[in-house]
Amino acid sequence: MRARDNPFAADRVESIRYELPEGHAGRLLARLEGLRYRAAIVGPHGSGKTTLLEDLERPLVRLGFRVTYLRLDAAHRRFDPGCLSRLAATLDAQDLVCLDGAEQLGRAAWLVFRWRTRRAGGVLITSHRPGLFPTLIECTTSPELLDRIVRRLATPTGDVRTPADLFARHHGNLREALRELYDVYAGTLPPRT
Amino acid sequence: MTGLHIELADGRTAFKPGEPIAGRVSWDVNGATSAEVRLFWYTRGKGTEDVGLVDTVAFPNPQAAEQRTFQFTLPEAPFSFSGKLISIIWAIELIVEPGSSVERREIVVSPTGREVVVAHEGA
Repeated sequence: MRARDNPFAADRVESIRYELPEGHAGRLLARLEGLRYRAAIVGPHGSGKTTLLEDLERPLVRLGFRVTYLRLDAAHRRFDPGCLSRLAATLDAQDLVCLDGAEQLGRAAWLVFRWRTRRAGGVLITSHRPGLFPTLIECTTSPELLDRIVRRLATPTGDVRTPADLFARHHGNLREALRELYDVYAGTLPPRT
Repeated sequence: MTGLHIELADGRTAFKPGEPIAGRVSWDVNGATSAEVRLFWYTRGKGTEDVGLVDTVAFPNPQAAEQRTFQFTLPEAPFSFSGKLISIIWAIELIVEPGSSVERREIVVSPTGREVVVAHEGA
């Protein structure tokens, strides 16, 4: 199977957006407003935090915010020198700063980030652990959710298989589970029985 | 009503590295404010998409409905390629604003005129 035809290619996986129950999007925004637009999306690896943060950008822009997006990860655990001070000079109440990967910051760096973004109208972060900001939503996954995603992605090939233990083996990390299915469909990993 | 079209000279869809690509684009977009055609490659596969923008032709003073011609010269690399982990895909894209109307036409770039396919690739 060519990479471009693999139903679990990255672009196809990324087209699957965060699944909120009917009517919950409005409630989520109302809750964010109640938290004065300083809140955290919390959840373990591969639970959809980044996806949800990205999905919230458009409604936040519609609310009148200028959204600035920052990202940290295990490979990039610090902001570039001067980044926060330059950002701080531009912020006002119309700005909302999204930080994906806030758990990468140590205690001191987190306090500096909060200080630098104090003038922003809002700050929305993702984090593996609660406590940095009030929790807006806790992202969770389930075998049923994984199965629904697999069926949506694999339908065009007519070959739908969600290994029974796939969810458990990856400890609920949907991203890693889907990456394994990429390898299975590519023929670079034998399917597990 | 919006209608974007890309026609390549002689109906070709396969080219050799270094060859020129000529064609014609047309659009019908109310209040068109900008129009340009881009030559680029992008990846598909296990990793995050990568994009290489090779060249752009911007059309000044676009009308709501019109045709324009363009010409690019392909670089020597990369070739159109598919393995198990990554595909490299070449394309020509017409973008007309407002509304970010887009029309994309895939092409093949390789010495043989066909995508290079690697069947055996380790994980």
